[in-house]
Amino acid sequence: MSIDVHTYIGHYAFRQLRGNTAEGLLSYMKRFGVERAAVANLSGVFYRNTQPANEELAAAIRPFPGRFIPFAVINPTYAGWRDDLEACHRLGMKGLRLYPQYHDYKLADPRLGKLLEAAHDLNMPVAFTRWLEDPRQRSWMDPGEELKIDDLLPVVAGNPGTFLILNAYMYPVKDEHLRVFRAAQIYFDTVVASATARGWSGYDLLGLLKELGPERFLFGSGYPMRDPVSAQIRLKLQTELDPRAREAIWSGNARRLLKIS
Amino acid sequence: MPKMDRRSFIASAGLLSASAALPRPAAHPYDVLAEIRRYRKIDCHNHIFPPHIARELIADADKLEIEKLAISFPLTTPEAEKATPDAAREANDRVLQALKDFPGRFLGQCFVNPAHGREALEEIARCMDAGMIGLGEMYTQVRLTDPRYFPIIEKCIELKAPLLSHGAGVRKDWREPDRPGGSTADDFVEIGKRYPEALIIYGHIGGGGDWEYVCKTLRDAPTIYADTSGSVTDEGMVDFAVRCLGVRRLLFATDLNFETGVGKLLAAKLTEAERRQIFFDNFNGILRQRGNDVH
Repeated sequence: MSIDVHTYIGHYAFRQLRGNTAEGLLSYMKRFGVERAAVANLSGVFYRNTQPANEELAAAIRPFPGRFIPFAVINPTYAGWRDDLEACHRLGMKGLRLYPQYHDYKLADPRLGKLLEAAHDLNMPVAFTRWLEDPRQRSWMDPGEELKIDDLLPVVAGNPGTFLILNAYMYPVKDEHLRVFRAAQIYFDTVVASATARGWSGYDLLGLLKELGPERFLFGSGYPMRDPVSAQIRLKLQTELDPRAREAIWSGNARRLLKIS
Repeated sequence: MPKMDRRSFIASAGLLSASAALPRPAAHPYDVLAEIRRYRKIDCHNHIFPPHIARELIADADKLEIEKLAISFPLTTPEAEKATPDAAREANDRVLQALKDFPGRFLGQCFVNPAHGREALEEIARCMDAGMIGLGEMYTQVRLTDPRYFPIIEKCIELKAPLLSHGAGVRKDWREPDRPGGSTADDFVEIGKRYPEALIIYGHIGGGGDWEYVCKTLRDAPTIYADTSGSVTDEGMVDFAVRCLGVRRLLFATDLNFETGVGKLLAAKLTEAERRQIFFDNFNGILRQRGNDVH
């Protein structure tokens, strides 16, 4: 059984989704043998005040104890974020997903630093996503911003104790990235790395595993934004890896990071 | 950190000891490898780039059980004058070499720049005589609707050869300013009306553009095919393409995105027969017109 660290419920503003409810995710999880899914509410990306989205998420997963690992969406530049964070923690949220590119702040904003400190104090991992969909296809209402790994480096270096998850598309490409990442509590999901040696992304999963070690990788699908099968293939094809290392990526690393028994 | 080769990495004590305490692998109910094996596949849109890519392509195709790959070496410069006949010939020679090196695995696609009319037609004749199956990936030097393109398309009709063109449909009412020669979905519709007998393929509906816009536009072009490749693997994309274009006009391809190329088709809510059509039968039917079909 696997743990998927990258799923969503809720609406994406620019495209209709299927399976974007707790029930929809459970159907996906049953088909693909996913024991638990880390989930956030996409609506929190688009609401000015994100807290109702977090409350919607808590209500949506309440009937299914033990199946979901809720992540809150918090905007550190919006009024009352600290109260929201604490409320989410009390609701059982295990981590945060942050969307500076949609919430109109820069990674250098000191308010982000305060949120990361607070997350560290609450022992909540913080996830960033490079983009929700390929910016080339973006809506005319989408700001079209993407998080760049170079911009993220000071955040990583400045918060060595905070557990960070980089969701999709953000992998190291320079020696400097590797140096900073190796010293950090940083994890990567497998949404975009390529299973094969070639690909336009340039990210070959086995190559990344060589550079960073399998203990830093978490199985993620991106469902229902992304198709659910490609992520399965990506890991299944890593036949050269020790099977137990593969299993660590399927679930063991997430179990450890998110303290799942 | 010194680079390790795969074997030493996998055998490394650190990896083994780190994973030793982990639980035993569990079975997963969806047998994705069995699903991959279930379908014969021809990839109608792939590429060969130096150095030594042919061997890697075959290795990757083997992992996904792809029998044959249509490969090209397009010159991607947006400046038409830089895609010279000599450069195109050199690129096509690399494709021809791959056909020789790996007999039976590759289908050659000839790249030309329609701005060089006479030389382009000569190069098409040379490549087809040498065993290529069609044109591809025609790039963004000249728009499909440009009259300089017409003799190229007419030659393809005469040869019953498919023409795969880069689909440059990005966003509604927007054309990449640095690639004015890129062909959008609207251009494909227009050229499909002018040449309904041509076998024209819109390259990569998942190539990064607004695929809903592209598919809805191509709905009005019943003779245009579209391939499913590109790095975008949005859930529901293939299903939407089927609703707009029908199964018959969709062709499996990866454009070097191997696992997502296969994954997005396996994920689509299709019958086994429909998947068979897209993975294999549709493109094989196109190849059959010139006697190049796969048995």
